[in-house]
Amino acid sequence: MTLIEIRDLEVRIGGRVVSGVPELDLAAGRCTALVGESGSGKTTALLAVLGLLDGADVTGRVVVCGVDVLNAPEKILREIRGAKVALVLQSPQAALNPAMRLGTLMRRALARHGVKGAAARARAEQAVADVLLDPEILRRYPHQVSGGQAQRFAIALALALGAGVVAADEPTSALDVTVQAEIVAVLRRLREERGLALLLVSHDLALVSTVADDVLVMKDGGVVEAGPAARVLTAPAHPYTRDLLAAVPQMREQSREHRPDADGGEPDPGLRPGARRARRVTGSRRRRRRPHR
Amino acid sequence: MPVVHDVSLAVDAGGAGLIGESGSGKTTLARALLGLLRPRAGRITYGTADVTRLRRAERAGFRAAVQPVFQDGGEALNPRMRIGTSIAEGLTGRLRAAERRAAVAELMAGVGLDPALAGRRPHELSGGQRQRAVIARALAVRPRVLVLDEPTSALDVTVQARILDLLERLRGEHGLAYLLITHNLAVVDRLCGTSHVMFAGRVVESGPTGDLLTRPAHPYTLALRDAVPRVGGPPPAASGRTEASPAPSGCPFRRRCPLAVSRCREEAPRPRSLEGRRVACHRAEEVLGGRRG
Amino acid sequence: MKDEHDAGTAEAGKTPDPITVSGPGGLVVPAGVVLRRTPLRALAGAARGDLLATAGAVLLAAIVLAALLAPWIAPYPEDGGTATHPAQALLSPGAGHWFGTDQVGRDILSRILFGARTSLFIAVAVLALAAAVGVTLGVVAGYAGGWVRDVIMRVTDVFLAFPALLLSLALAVVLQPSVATVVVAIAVTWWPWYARLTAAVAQSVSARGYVDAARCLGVPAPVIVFRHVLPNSVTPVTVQLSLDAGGVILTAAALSYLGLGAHEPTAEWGLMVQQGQSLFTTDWWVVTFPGLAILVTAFSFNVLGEGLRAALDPRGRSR
Repeated sequence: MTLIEIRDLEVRIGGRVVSGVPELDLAAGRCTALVGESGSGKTTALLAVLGLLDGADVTGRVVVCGVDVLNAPEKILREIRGAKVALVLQSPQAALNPAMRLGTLMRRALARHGVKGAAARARAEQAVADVLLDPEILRRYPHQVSGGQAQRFAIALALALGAGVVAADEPTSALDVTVQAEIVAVLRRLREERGLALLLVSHDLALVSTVADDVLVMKDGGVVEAGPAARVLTAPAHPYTRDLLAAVPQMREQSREHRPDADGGEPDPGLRPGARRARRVTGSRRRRRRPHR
Repeated sequence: MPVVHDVSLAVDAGGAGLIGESGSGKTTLARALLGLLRPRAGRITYGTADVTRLRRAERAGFRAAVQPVFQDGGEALNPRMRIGTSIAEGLTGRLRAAERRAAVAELMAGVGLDPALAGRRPHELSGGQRQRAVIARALAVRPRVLVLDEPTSALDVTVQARILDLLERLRGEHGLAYLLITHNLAVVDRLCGTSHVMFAGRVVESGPTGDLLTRPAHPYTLALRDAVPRVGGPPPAASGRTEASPAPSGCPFRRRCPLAVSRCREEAPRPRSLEGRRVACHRAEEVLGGRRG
Repeated sequence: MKDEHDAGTAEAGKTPDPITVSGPGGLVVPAGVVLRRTPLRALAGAARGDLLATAGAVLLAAIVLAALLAPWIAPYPEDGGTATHPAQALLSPGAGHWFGTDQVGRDILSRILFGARTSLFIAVAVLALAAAVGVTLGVVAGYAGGWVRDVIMRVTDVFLAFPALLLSLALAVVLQPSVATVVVAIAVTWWPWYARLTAAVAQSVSARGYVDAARCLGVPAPVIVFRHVLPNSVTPVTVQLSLDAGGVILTAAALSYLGLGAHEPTAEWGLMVQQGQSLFTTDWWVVTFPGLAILVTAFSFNVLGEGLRAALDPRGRSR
């Protein structure tokens, strides 16, 4: 099922095209990434999908969950944002009401969608567990959680409301690399298990390559290359894509795969039962090794 | 409560990296090195002089020799001052206006910044240009050591690469030594011969950067490395429990460690030498052997 | 070297994507949360930013001009001083006296024009004095921290512990009643607010990268304070100053009423309001027009303050 369909989208501000996406299809359980640098128009395209562009001249066709976003009334659009498509931005904490516990925040959001009482509580706890957070977090205030927890809570809120699409704008670039890895793991799991579709905006090609199925490379408001991530990021056709890839800092490494002698050992007494759960594929695939510069 | 304890490290011409998550104490340590904070105990020496006990005259010399390059996001440039004025701040002696302008132009050209931009204010420049201006300002006093605090993390990946090129070039031209603070291991690999991994205010592993990246001896180093996404690589490994606070007794990392055993709860590991590095982990041999949990 | 910047303006011009979401963004936006700017709200925003501030500035300029030109534009310039015309007492507004006359027959319009001089002088003098003391101490406290900050802030607390009007009253009683007394008496109670406000801002400014960088470059502390900390800490104070101007005018009026400040025959709005208040039910114009003068002036200062805040933000300048 196609959840997001874009055809010939063009956003003009002051007559200048600041973002143009000729074609994009996002189906359930898939991830499409818009990649580019500041000013490439990737965030603008994301906002257009949510009907959040006012004061800009938007043409083309954007269909989200069956709704023609560019021609829909505000009331319908509000229904879409939140209940159908969840927006996740770079710093979620700034947007959480500091005087409200996270649980209260989620309960109110659910109440607006007619879910109340025990059902709401169950839904909230399930959603929080789905993003690998302790339900205890619902009793906390925003300043009592870390950036990574806040970001996962944002995703949980989307899940609780039944959103099928997460639109994420640089969701991890303000976070530590270890926390980023956890969020990526959560998103991948939700895609596989819940059929969540992900529209990701990022300038980090390495991150994109580990999550996205399809990639649109944007530059100066236009798409310069589009295709399956595996193809675009390993055999780029456009010189700009090649430049972007060349700029990704490389790191020496060798033994990231399991060694035979380490496998099959007894579980350690200190190891908690949940330890393996969150650890996604550590990979036995052998990577290309790049010569160190 | 001290935030940084028992840290010993040396910065030499080969460059030293300080790696860790936010809150690990790496920035506090950098501020102490810059003489902006006074440590409760211990010594920081520059050459043969103890930085914490400098006399007024010696302090000026030290101040000039060790300069910070803060990340762009932290308002490294006075938003009200023109770029040229900011860069000229460190120029001392009686300079006529024309001489000052010439010196600023030379510094700007040296970091690849068009001298015509001297009249701009920071918000009129791109992130990369601002970062170059910050470097030029530091170079004005002819320093020997630059303390680089996340110098590229706020930048687009292509701009990041150019700033790293610049830093590599400047190191040769000015005979600089770098102390690089970052959570990005790939950046460390490019600029630093030696690396120190910090967790909860302590250095948990130190050694040649190449060794640390290819064969980490501490589970935390391993987790940091495996969390870095790679183009065409497997998904980053999420170890889980990044929100667990450092343990107050025993090994501070044990709550996040997949290898933790009862000994880790009872006894804090002391740093010890192992295969050319210093590591504070009871099970470092097993980590080196490829064991992951 | 090939460089993204040598072209100069190209990159500076294309700052992040041209549209940024502010407000409640940053998270899953639940239904009902509106990020979209409605045309009405956009218009209100534009008006708040430009139209209103411009209106405030124009009004204030008119008031200042009226104050300066009072002797020439007032219909009865002698009524600003000692003249009295008992025969024309309490005439209602009409052709001869647009705003009517007071108990002793003076033209109220003329006295309002002259009163603008007194009120504006008091407001400017009080705020200048209070800001000079408060901002200086605040910036020093915020930058120095430690015991310097503690001492300055404790002294500030002592001043803030007294009710402002009471302290002003006590001072005004000790000193000779005059406009200068009013200025000193109010300024003494007003500066601690600026000290406290500035100290808080200066402390956060002092933690920014450019201040640390200047310290590392060996720039002397006084230079750092005046070059970096002060200019980046005063914006809230300038806004507060223009917001406070109306309050100062009111306080001055209260002191004048109690016989501790401006006194007859000096034309002063607060004095005029207090003198006319008992006549409100019968001769409404005596109290209403001076009251409106205070209101309009305070309002002008307020919207100007809001405009100043926008204009003084260096990032707002390019828009």
